[in-house]
Amino acid sequence: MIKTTLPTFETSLDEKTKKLVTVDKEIVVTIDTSLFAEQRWEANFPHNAKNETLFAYIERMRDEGKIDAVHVLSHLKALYCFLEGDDIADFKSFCQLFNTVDGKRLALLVEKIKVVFEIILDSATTDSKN
Amino acid sequence: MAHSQALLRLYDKLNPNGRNNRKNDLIVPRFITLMAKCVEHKIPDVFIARTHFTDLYVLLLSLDITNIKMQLKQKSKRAQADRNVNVRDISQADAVKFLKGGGNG
Repeated sequence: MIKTTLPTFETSLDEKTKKLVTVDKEIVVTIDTSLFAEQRWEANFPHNAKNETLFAYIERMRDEGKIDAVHVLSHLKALYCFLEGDDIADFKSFCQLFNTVDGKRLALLVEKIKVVFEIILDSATTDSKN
Repeated sequence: MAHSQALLRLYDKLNPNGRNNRKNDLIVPRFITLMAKCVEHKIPDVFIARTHFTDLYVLLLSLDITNIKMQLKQKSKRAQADRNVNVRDISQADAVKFLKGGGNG
């Protein structure tokens, strides 16, 4: 299990100014690269799992250079299967943790996804081409 | 994947008639298939939980390849043993005698 953090946000209404205040936060998660990540992939996203394994998916995305903001929802699906943490209840609440509307915050999230996917792919002693 | 291709080739060697039925083998979810393999090879659950998916997958394929190679060896040994019932090693003199119609006694 590898510990890491994810950039999240929290929006609240400032009663004095009557304006929305967005505060950047971080949540601590652990990356699970075991067979159980694949199990979560098959259980939560059977349509995607029918075509390829979770690991094959992120490897393909990396090789095709598609880890970008355009495909962020697909990447969140993959990321959700790899992560364990107290703040992650289900996929819906997981998606709500991130701000995909704000360009800056989205770029930060995509960068983090890239790093996490690299860690996941590099932490095996063998590669899938073996 | 080289391991899985090698495994399929070995399966075909072991059971040539099963080649057409392979499509049906893929219906079971991957997770169930892999867990079944882990149980079959008596892999401890701590190892399953802590090992990277790719490493575990390659390990299972390697174990399967080793098992099937052993089964193929045994199969070929049995076939050789069966053939030996009918085939006899004879000397050159016996062979000449047989060809001349003198029997093999």
